Amino acid sequence: MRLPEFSYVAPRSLAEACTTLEEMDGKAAVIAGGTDLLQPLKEKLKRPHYLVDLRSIPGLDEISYDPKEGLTLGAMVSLRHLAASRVVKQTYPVLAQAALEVATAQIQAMGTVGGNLCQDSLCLYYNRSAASKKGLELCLKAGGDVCHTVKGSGKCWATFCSDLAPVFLVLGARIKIVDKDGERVSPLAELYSGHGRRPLTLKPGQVLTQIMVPPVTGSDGAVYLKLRLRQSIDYPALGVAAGIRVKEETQKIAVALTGVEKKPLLFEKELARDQTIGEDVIRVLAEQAYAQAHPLNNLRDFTPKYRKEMVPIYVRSALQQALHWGGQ
Amino acid sequence: MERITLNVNGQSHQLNIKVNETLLDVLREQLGLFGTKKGCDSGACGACTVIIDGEPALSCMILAVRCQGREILTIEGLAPEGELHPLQESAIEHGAVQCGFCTPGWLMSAKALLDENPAPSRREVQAAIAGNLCRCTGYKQIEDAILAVAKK
Amino acid sequence: MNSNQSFITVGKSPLRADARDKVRGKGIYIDDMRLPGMLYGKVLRSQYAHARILMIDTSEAERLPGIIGIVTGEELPFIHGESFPDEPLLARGKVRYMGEGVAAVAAVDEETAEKALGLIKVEYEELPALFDPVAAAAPGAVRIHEEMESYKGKPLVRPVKGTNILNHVQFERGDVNQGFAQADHIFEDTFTTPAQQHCSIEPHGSICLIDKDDNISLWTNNDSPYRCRIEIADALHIPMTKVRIISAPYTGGNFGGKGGLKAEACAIALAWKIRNVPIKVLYTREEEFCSSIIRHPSVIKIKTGVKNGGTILAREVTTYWATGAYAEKGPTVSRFGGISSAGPYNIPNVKINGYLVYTNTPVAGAMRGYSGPQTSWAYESQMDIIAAKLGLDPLELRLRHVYQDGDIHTATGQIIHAEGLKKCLEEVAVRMEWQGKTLGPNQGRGIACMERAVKTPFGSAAFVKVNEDGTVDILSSTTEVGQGSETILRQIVAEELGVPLNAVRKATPDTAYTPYDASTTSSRSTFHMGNAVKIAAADARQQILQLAGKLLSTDPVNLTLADGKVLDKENPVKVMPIAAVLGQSYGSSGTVLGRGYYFPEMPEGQETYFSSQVVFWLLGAHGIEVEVNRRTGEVKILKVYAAHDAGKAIHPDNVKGQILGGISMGLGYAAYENYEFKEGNVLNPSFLSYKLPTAVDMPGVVPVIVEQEHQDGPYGAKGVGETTNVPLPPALANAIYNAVGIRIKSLPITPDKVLAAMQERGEGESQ
Repeated sequence: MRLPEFSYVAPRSLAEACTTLEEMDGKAAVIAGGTDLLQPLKEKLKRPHYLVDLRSIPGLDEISYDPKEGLTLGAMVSLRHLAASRVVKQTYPVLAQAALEVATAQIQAMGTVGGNLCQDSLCLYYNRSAASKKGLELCLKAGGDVCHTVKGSGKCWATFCSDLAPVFLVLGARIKIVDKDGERVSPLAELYSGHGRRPLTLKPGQVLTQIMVPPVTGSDGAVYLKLRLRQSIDYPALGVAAGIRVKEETQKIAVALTGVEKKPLLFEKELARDQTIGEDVIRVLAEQAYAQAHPLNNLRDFTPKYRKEMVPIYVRSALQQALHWGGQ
Repeated sequence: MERITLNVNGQSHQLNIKVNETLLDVLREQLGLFGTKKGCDSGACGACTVIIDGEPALSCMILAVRCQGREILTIEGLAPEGELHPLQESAIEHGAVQCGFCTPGWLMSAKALLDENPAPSRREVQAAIAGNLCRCTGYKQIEDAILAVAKK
Repeated sequence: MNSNQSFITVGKSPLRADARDKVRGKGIYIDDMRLPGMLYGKVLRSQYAHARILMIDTSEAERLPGIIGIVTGEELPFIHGESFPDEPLLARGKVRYMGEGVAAVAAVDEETAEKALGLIKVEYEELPALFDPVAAAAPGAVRIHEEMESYKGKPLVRPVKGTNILNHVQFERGDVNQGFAQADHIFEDTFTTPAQQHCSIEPHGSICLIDKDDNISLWTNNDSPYRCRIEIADALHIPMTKVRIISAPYTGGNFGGKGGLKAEACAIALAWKIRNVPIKVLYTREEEFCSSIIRHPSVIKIKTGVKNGGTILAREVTTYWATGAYAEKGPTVSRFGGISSAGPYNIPNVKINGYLVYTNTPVAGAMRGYSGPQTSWAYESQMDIIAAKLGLDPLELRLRHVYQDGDIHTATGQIIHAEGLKKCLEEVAVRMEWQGKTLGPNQGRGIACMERAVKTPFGSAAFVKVNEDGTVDILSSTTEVGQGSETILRQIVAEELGVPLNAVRKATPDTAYTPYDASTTSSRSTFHMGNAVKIAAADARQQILQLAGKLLSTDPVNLTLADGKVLDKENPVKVMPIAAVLGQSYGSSGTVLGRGYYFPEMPEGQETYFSSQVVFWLLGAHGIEVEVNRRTGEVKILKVYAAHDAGKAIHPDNVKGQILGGISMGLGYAAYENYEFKEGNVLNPSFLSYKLPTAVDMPGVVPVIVEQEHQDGPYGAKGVGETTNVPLPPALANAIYNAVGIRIKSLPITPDKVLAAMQERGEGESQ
């Protein structure tokens, strides 16, 4: 399968990248690691006129930690470097672990943190070559008018399956978005639109450049559990991250899900710092997650019923392990 | 057409390429390096694995134009002409080769692993080659071949 | 027999010669081949499962710069097929599955060819489509091949007029109704199996060149050059000697998938129209999944009558094989399935009905196991259902009924020889400590075995050419697809001739030079081609000894060959290298050519539907230990024990390699792989969504080689690789039953299925 024709742009600065992207007005695609982009290009599912390469921009692949600012990751940090980083392993080992759960060693070396967070949503009816969508009407995500997953819904239900998104969400990560007018920092959750067709809120000309995770305190804990058929290659059929973040007076218990909705789902509960996190809290979070997860029949593995049934089981397990890790 | 310089197996090549060509196609079609195989062309089988700047990479999933200034190692560069790399020797000795189509890919994965982690566990070896599908061997002999080369 | 004889190389595990090329990336496969002026072909494929083609407009595509030619099915009035020719090179009149070739283009490069496909316009009139073999077999169902009655199949193929059934396999021994009447217990179960794809990592590919006189040269990764040649010649109505098939030096995996005309058909279609220029067609991975070949999905109804105490009196099996849009190897798959549907057991009353049914799905045909995975899934699962109901030990129930030497095979009526199945079961039982080992909570163990007939009776021929320098070339049309035949044939020749192994090479098959071989399939090569090269080597050896006898003035009976030299057994001073024998006999140089042909001569069995006899049986048993997670339905395989009967392992490491590789393919079928079909549309045609087990998914495996030597096998050897995947799925299902008491009857066995079954029994823990 040959790639379609496009122009390739390697900007030297962020400003140049943003300007180019905005001028192209949606006809340009950003390429980071390329692992999530090249396949839909080969399948002619996407036809950008321009590819704007972030690799040529210096400074986007740095990892740093500051006790006040926390952990800062450049969007172009590869998953392999994330997993191998000493500072990451010391502060947020769950990130290193989750990075190693993504796809394969090769994809980890090529794929980036930013790319993983910005990955496109998936659907069995969409992710195959345009030429071979035999007899199937063009779906919404491919530019058509129908959804084959939820017929008659008039909406695209493609599922968001990033492994890292739920982990960053429970860690309270913020992201830096840059455009030609400047930069803005917002909670990671605001990156996601909740739409299957276009899962990100980024507008043409906007680039995700950094992910910032708050500083660790002594009794934080977080884990990521992934349901998949094979123990490699596969996207999560369900991914659950759970984390406890302890602040001065309160503690925040967070659970985030991937692979069961059009965006990652986040559930949080704030308690007084000295309050014991008991079965009641776990149950509430498990029930919330169960109620809001809507796995559909658009991924290859497991029935939707099963994936939904696994939600509370995984949430409980993840919370219990996070609590254990957090020393509670 | 774009004029680029590719460093492959320690040699520098001036090439005219199209920006929409993958590294895999350039290696095979322009440089005649047929040892890197096209198994799925979709980033999911690992037969096209090469090493770029010391890390394993899928050559079907990377644009050649993005590889300028980077060190690319293919199976042909694993050992000097006429010699075998210890991993290659070990693959032969352990019966890790059947049809051979996935072989160059997993050898490159293994080389990248051992360069970074000279004494991996079996589990680490498995994780390193989990992106290299093999339909013939059932993987055990491949793991044995790699572990035999690893430092104890 | 031979077991006490000492061998130089047979029974050892010398290093494979091909591995040296392959580890350096120097092994040449079809995609690595380039011919001068070569064009690239691509195929436009059907958008419908079943539709009439109203119009094909190629005019716009033809105008694209770089397009050399476009061909459609209408221009190619040919049909092909191994035993029931029914398939056009490109669809004619109508399409019968999504993914069928409709038109093909040849261009100066791949990119242009791909682009042109998008410019071809096809108008279809959709027809009702059939996907389920049981529905498709029903009387009155829409005809997928209206003209089936006019097809000229081989006599053994028995179509049912006016239906979609293109082969009805029927056989009865004894009286099943009487058997059921005498039984104390009747078991009736229905099992299903999904499609599976070979997933050779190397796709199908061919390069075809046809000159103005219809002389065809085809470079291909087809597994069987001679079978390929006759199929092409018959299809094109030309003498077969006009067709030359040249194997690519190496083939990147086969498993039965590279036996028909796939990329071959596309390349021939283009080259038939565009003469005197080589045209290459290489399948994409998506085409591999949608447009090449799959394992038959099946529905198997099995009814068994058993006495109190466990004696099996009668068994009736009805199987529906979904063969897809075209016959391909379906007739023989269903026939082999019929032979072994009742299992490798002495059962006095047996009735078999097999229906091979056209469906509007990708073409099904040969794949490793060749009916064995389907039939054994049913009979071995039911063996444990019977054992559980009657409170019997599942191993014991099998051991009481399995065939042993001297028994009469129910289906073929022949007296069984070299049956190592009991030994396989016993070996597995010993390794897994069937008696005595206590398993933990939620753990269980299961066992299953199988038989499958080797393709019989077909011949193999070989030349052994001894060169002037004493080296040896084997001219044989066995293809090296990864199985290691090259090394095994070299071992046999080195052993027989008395030359060092590294002096022996195996030539790449080319129908212009290497002699006839029926096929590289069915695990027949070690036995059939092994015999042929052994005979050829013995012939060459005799000729050399004759020549040496003259030179050394010795009676040749006193001479022997060892390490490439002729020796006088009584006078060790008389030594002469082969090169010297040839040089001195034939002036400055000369060669000796040994000839060998092997065709199994079978004794007559009892007259049955399966009148042809089976020269040997592929036999094996697997044992599996599992632990089931009651909350998630996940099944952890703790260990697999696999015993297979090789007769005599000529290359034991290779046999182990075949066992380990078979386990991963069997595990895929048992627990991972499946086609997601949506009205004939394959939704998961990629390695991301079609799930081969990876290195981290493989359980520990204990491979065991059983050697029940065969009187006619070279050194007692039989084949082994074909069925090393087969017993795994039922062994796994039986282990899960043993662990948690649920019975899964459809493959693959996934955690959602296991959990749902536990919930149905009220045993699962749900939230």
